[in-house]
Amino acid sequence: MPVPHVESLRADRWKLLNPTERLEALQELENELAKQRGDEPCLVVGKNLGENILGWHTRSNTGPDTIEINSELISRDQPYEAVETLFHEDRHAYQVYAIQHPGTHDNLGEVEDWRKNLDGGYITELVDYDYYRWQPVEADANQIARERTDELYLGMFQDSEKYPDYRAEKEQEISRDIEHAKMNIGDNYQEKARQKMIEKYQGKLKQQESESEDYYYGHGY
Amino acid sequence: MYQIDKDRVRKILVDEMKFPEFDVDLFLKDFPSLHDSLSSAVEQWLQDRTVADTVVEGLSIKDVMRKRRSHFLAAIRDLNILLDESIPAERRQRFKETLEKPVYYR
Repeated sequence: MPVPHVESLRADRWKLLNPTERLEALQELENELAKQRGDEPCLVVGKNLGENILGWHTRSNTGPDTIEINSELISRDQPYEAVETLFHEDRHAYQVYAIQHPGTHDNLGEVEDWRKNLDGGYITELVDYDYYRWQPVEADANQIARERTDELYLGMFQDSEKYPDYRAEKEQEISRDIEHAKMNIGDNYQEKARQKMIEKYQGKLKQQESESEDYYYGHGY
Repeated sequence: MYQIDKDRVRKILVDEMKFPEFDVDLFLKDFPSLHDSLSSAVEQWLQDRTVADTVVEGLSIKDVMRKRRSHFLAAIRDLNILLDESIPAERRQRFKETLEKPVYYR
């Protein structure tokens, strides 16, 4: 799918917008991305998420999912990090949609990994960054967000003024993440993170099974 | 070399800091032996969770915790790599660069 064209996300246009208008531009991007997959859009909100946290995707059973973007990114005169974060969080919405709607995503192995990852196998960011960063849903969301941000700013908007510097910084960030993971997990860091995610998922599954057995025995079945 | 008391650490990370058990076990499973110069900082933390002002190659434990938004032992493991002479100096230098820049979560 091509990235949607949202004119207000051009760097020179974004600079002139107030925070509310910037959030509206991000919401418009999310609306278009959701439309492409035939899904309800997430509600995009700006929030002070604290240092080092760019955004979150929160699932909801009662209303639309929410994408929180750190307000600090929205206040920046360059749109790139806010847009890349939107692409990242929207990809999590896509992963959920692909799990719930078989046939949405061609690679069935990836969808199965996402299912396990989001159904008990998620490795939190609290204890070990490397496993968190390289588990399937996060590795995929990071990669897709990077590609789409390039597609928008290098391809569609032909932004050759400020975007190349941002892009170079992001590439360095990825290189640092790889170096850190290789040192702590090993050269096959991505596969290892995937394996650990599956172990965690299987552990949760066993736990649920044993809890349900306890329930049956407890009720005289 | 100094070995951390994994049972004691597990108790702190799971019971006190409320980190998920699986994630803690994953982190501790391959936790390396530490350079002796880090032992007093770890002992102090085990006692009262105080983060010592220990500095390795110009980086303090607090610097690494802040930049990477990591907990004490993750920072210790990172700094331990800088002290590991079995790793080529060039590679350690590259690793040090990963600790000097912030890590972003989303």
